[in-house]
Parts: sequence; C-alpha cells; structure tokens
Amino acid sequence: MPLVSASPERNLFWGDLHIHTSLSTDAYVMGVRALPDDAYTFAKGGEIEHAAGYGIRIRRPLDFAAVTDHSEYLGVMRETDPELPFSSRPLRQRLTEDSRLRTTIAWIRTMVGFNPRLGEVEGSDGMSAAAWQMTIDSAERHYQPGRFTTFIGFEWSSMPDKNNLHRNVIYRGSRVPESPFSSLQSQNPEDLWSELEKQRASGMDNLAIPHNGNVSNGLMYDSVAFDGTGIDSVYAARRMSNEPVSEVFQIKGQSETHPHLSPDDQFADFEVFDRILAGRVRYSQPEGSYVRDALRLGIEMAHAEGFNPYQFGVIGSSDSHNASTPSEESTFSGKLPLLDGSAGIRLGKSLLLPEAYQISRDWSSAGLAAVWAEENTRESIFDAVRRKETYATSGPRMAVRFFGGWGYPPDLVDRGNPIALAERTGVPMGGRLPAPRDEGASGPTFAVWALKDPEGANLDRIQIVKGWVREDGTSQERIYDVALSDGRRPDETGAVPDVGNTVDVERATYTNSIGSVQLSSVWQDPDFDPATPAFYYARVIEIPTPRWSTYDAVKLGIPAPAPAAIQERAVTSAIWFEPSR
Amino acid sequence: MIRRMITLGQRMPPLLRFVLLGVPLWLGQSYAERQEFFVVDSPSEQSLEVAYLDWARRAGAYPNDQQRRDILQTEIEDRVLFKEALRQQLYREDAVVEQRLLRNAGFIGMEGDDAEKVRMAFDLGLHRNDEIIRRHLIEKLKMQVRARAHPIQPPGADILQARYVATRERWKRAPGIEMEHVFFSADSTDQGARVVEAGRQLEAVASAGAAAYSLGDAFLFGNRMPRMALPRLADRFGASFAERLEGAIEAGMLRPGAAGWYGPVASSYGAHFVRVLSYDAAGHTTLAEVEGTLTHEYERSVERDVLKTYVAELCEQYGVGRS
Repeated sequence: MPLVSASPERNLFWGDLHIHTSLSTDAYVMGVRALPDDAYTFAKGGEIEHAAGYGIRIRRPLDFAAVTDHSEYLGVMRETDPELPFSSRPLRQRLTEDSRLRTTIAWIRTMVGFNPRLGEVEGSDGMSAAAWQMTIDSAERHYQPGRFTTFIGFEWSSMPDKNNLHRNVIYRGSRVPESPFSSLQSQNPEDLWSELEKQRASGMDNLAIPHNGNVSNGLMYDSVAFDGTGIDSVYAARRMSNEPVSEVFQIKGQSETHPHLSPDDQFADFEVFDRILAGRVRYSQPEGSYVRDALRLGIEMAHAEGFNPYQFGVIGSSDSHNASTPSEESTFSGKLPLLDGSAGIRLGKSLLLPEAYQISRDWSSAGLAAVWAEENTRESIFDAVRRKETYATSGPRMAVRFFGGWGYPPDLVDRGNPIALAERTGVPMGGRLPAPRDEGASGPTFAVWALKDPEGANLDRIQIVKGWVREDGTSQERIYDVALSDGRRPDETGAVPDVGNTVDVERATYTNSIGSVQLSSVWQDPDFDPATPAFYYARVIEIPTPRWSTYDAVKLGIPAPAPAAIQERAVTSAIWFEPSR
Repeated sequence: MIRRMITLGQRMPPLLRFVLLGVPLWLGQSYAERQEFFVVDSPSEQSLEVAYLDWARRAGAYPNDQQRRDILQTEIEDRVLFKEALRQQLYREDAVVEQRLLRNAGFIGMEGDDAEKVRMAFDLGLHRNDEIIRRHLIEKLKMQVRARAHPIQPPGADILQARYVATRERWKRAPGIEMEHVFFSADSTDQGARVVEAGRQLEAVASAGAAAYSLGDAFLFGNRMPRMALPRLADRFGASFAERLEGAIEAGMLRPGAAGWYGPVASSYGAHFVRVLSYDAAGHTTLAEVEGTLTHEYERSVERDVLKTYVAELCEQYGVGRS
C-alpha cells in the first residue's frame, strides 16, 4: 500500500540524490564509517551514528534517496585502511579527550596525508567491484515502491586543475553496469556521456546531474566544450539528453547566481561559496559557474545559433559524506566530519587553524530535491526528473507549483481545478511554452503558487526571474516580485519594503508573526518580445530564520558569526519561450 | 615374470609396442589433468580473515563460528562457479569481458587493434585474474542456472497463505485517510470571523463539494486529498492536525463517510473543516493486496532452490585443495 495514492496531477516527493558513505575515499579518510544501508536507514527516518559519535535522525523522512559515492577507488580506502589519524582513534575520542593542539596536529596529518591516489593499490579493482555491488544491493534492499524509492548511482568526480566538474549518475532501474565510470578513465564530460549513451542503448536508462558549478572556475557551464572547441548542435543535444537537471543547492553553497553576475538581485548574496576546493587558496570565477548565467548563455546561443546546450532544470541535494541529509539548520551535522563534524569544529573552537582554512564556516546546510511525480516509484520519479518537473530548495519543504501558458485567467488559482486548467493550455516547470494561439498574442502568463513548509517559516515573497535576449544578441535578466506577504506593495520606484526580521540571535529562534503561509500569482510578462528567446523561473523566499552557525553559537555560548539569519528559498526549473524560426 | 614380459615386449613390433604402452599413459595423464582441473584452491587463512573483517564492518560484530563457516562455504562456491564458467567458456563473445580485457590490455601496453588485443589478452589468461570478469562470469552462470527453473508453476493459495502468515510483520500498515477540507488561511485578516460564519453555514446547509470549498480559501494541494498514510498527512499539514483528526476518529466524533463537517481544526496553515471520506485503521495489508509480491518472491525462491541444487552438485564434482 503506497503512503500516498498515485495522482495524475502528480504528488510532491522530497529526496536527496547525492549522499556519500565511507565507500568514498575522502569520507573514509576524514572519519566516516557508515555504509549505504545507514544512508537509507537515515533517509527513512531511522537513527544512525554520526562519525563524531552522536546519533543523528531526520525529523521527517524522505521519499527517495540515492547513495552516490565517488567512483574513483570506490571502497578501496575502507578495505586498505591506511595508517592515518582516524585509523587509530576515532574523531569522537579525539574531540573529547585531546587538547586543541593535538586535534589540530591530527587534522594536519590527515590533510597532508590525504591523497586520492592512496587508492592505487594492488587488487583495488576487486575492492571497488565489491563496493559497487554493496551499493547496488543496498539500493535494491531498501527500495519499497510506493513508500520509499532508492536509486543506484555514483559520482563521477572530474577535477581538472582542481576545478569541480563533478556529476552524479543516477540509474532508472536495476540494470546497471558492472563497474561505474570514473574520472580515472576520463576527466572529459563528453566521455562520460559516451559511456552513458552506450549504457542507455543497452537498456540501462540513466542521467547525470552536475553539481557545484560554483567552484568550477567557469568550466561547468562554459561557452566552449571541455577541449576548448566550439559548442555545436550535437554537443547541445547530447548535453541535454545526458544532463537534464543541475544541482543548485547543497552543502558546498548555492549555484543559482552570484552577486557579481546579478548585481540588481537583492537576494543573490545567499550562501555564496566560491573557494576552489583543493590546492592553494583561490576563488572560482563567477562567469560560467552559475545556473542563471548558464540559462542566459543558452538562450543567447539559441538566438544566434539555433541550439541551446543549457536548457536544464534544477534540483537540490546534500552532498553529505555522513550517510545523511542534514537539511535543517537547527540540527545541521556537517558534510565531512573532520572539517565540520561538531559545532566546535564548524566555528573554529576545536582546532587551532587560521580562518582561511576553516572552509566549512562558509558551507550551508543541505538542499533538497522536490519532484512532482505521479507516484513514489523509480520510474515515476526518474521520468519527472528527466522532464524537469523539479525544483530545488535550500532545505525547507515549501510546496511550489509553476505553470506557463497563454491567457491564463487572473483568478486561475482560485478556481476549483487550477492544475488541470493550467495544463490544458500551458506547461509545468521544466517545459517549453507552446506557440501562442494567435499571432498578436500579448505576453505569456505564469501561474505560480507556494505553500510554506508546514514545520518551517512563513513566506516573504514569490519572484519570477526572467532572462531574455536583446536585439544585439546579449542576454538580460530581470526579477519581478509577483506575490508579497503581509499586503505589501512596491512603491512608485518599484522598491518593496523588507518583510522584517523576527530572529532572536541570542536564542536562535524566530516567530511566524510576519510573512504568509501561502502566496500565489497569475502574472503576465509586461516586457515580452515574441522575436527573441526567453526563460522564466520562480523563486520563493522565506522570512529570515537563524542560520546553522547561529544555532551552533548558542550551543557554544559564543557570539553568532555573520550572517546570523538567512532567507531560505526554493528555485524552480525554468519554462522557456522559443520564437518560431 | 617381469623378465618374461620385457622379453615379450622386445619381440613386439614397435608400432604395437607404442600403442599398448602409449594409450594407457595418455589416458592416465588425461585423467590426472581432469582431476586436477576439477579442484579449486581452498581460501587461505589470510583471505578468509579479510572476508571476516569485511563482514564485521558491515554487521558491526565479528562473525561467529556458524557465520564463519558460511563465509567459507560461499567463497568456495564462488571459486567452483568461476571455474565451471571458465570450463563452459562463458567468456567467449561476451561484451563485458572484452571491454574489460581491452582496458587491461591498454594498461599493460599491448598494441594492435581491438580484436588482436582481446586475442592476446585471452592467450595471456588475463580473463582468469580479473576480479570484475570473475564476478561477471559467476553471475552469468547463476543467471543461466536460474533460467532453468522456468516455466514455474504458479504457487497455490495454500503456499501464498503460508508465506503471508510467515511474513505478516512486513505487511503492517499505518492508518490511512482520504479526506476533503474547506480551508481558511492564517494569512486572512478576518480569518476568525470567516471560520465562525462558514461553520454556521456548513452546519445549516450541509454543503458538499465545490459549494462548500468556495466558502474558504484556495489551497495549493486542493480541497480533496488522495488517500495517504497518517504520517504523510502530518508532514503535509503539521503533526497537531493529524493527531487531532486521528483522535477525533478514534473517539467517534469524526465518522468516515458522514455528511457533516468537523472542525475547525488548526493546521500549520490556518483552520480547516474536514470530512473524512475513508479511513483505514492501523492494520495489515491483505493477502490479496500483496499476492503479486508474494508470487514474485515465490518464483525467486524456486529459482534459488534450482541454483542451490546445482551448486551443491557442482561442489561434489569439484574437490577442494590446499591454497
């Protein structure tokens, strides 16, 4: 019996398609001992042990999850257990018994001794084969159609010049390859696609999900291919058939946009993390690293060349290496135990390290993937991801529906059957607007509707982010506030008063005395140009709530670092308009 | 006696002497080789210890005597299956094996086109020492053996009933609820007055469907909720809402299928008047509902039995030598 009956108007399912366990080299070296079974136990609501020795549990179970361990030397570190600080004494013991100096020495020894090539040992293929089989077996064992969906997957961890080009590969069913493709075979995404295409041709349906464009130094959504050659229509078609969605929220920051790229976006400065992950301290260039920038580049190419390599949707996930999904600020338990496994480590109180090396201070709590699918099965959820009927949140579970069409009535959301009506003449998030019914049609209309997380904060506003191409071929972006809480209205300059802030930093609390529980709008684009391509996506902003670092500061009895409060959010997959050519 | 036989042998023509002495020797050698082939090495203490530790890491405890015997038996069976797969030449014209050999050939610097590399890799016996090929061939042989179980006679009602009873714990079901509601948003400034007025109207007219819904506000998930387990209702409306409904149903204040509206009930979003269309108390999924699953599991068990018999016979055929 399913937990929720199947619905042709789709049900909303929550999940995490990016979870690591001790089968990943970096996780094992930094103290994780949990396995795929632990990850699924956690996702289903069970309690597991964090690598730092305390119990962790998610307040509300997830509907679906995928363990995606790094395919490079998968499981090898666990088998070989090289001589590193956490081989002899676990993190908990070090944190509770050792001095800060001694813990710092263990930290330095681990970081200096950590080298992915530790996995280059005799017999590593056999170890990886066993680990891959464990990943498969665990996903199969925990899959309960209608109740909890698991996906078999892995992470392809390409890192040219230490710039992040990682992708998670997700399989639709039980048919998977004998071994996962790894960046040891090739760092070029096109080689990954070739392998995935070969697998699909033999009945192993799959897709790849890029993540952390924010630390790719402009490579993730570049204007040229990996080898520097120009992008053509074949590349565009291959990219979109292999990578229909990108991960936009996760622990290592958001990849929606950057203040440098979107100076007029008052909400762009949110959980920005742009420090390159390895090597000397350097920062990722924003251009080519963020989703909105990619969507803009995509429509520019569509306008100039007739193809669009960046017509993808979005999801959120965790990238936790603790076999968990720490999506709640108040119970955030970090990503890699050695770097952020306790409040003391996260806020620099357990280690003697310069702030430049405390990178986890700038990390976020986990994101979540929201999927509108008929039922909670592998097929239904996978197909919804492929058609991009998905959105991402920075952790909260607000419900968001977003449709685009022509001539939606202004009272659409108040009607008895708004979803059926919206779909009759339009498309849901992730779709392409159909051609207008008549030549002289005015701008497209968008119906957007958001309901707060029932356990979370009220909503501040709904925005529609539009990108379009000007006559000179360059793209522009504009943000429209289409629904505001508390009866607020823009002034004559278009400025909207802030929603306010109820966060008590001393206690790490907030109240829902401001904001709305539900917001909606039917909005027509006032600046529509039928001659150029455009995209539209919705962004739903919560009222300010305490950041994880504020909760940690209260636990430690120290002042909360800035920012003490954040405005969590949801970002939907876009809807595209393409003029008829 | 021996001298007489030697003398007799010396008097034989050379060809006859070759046949009489050579054939038994050849047969003996073939027998010995065959006997040697049908022997697998016993796992070494060292490799077993690795397997035990791996088991311990997964299970959280070092395996006991019985579990260690099981691990040893599984390892021996895998070795037997792999050797049998090699004997049956299951590696021939196998895409996975060839891909793997090509990769290995590239790794050790073999030159030539793909076909040449594969041939050379086979000649060098690389397919015998690759862990992925080993696992693949074991699985391939197992799949072929499982396929011999088909067609499988569908299980009778008695078999299904017995399996249902034996696994009854698995079929526990949380309470399920299907309901409709009239919603009053907490965003509304006059929510209290509207709720009072709507409550009066709903009680007086006993409105249903769209007429009733129109008294309240639109709700993103609609006014009619599909059947969902109670924990999911709590996830959607908040825990207190679900607890209140469950309590009202159990106390008989809210009867499934009744015409009247119950409420207002507070949720994370505001207030709701509720009609429960159907309610399944906590219980067990019926046999009819899980028949498909049980049939599937029965078929897998028949396949497993066929495989088990096959492996047992194979293990009798093969001997276990020292590593």
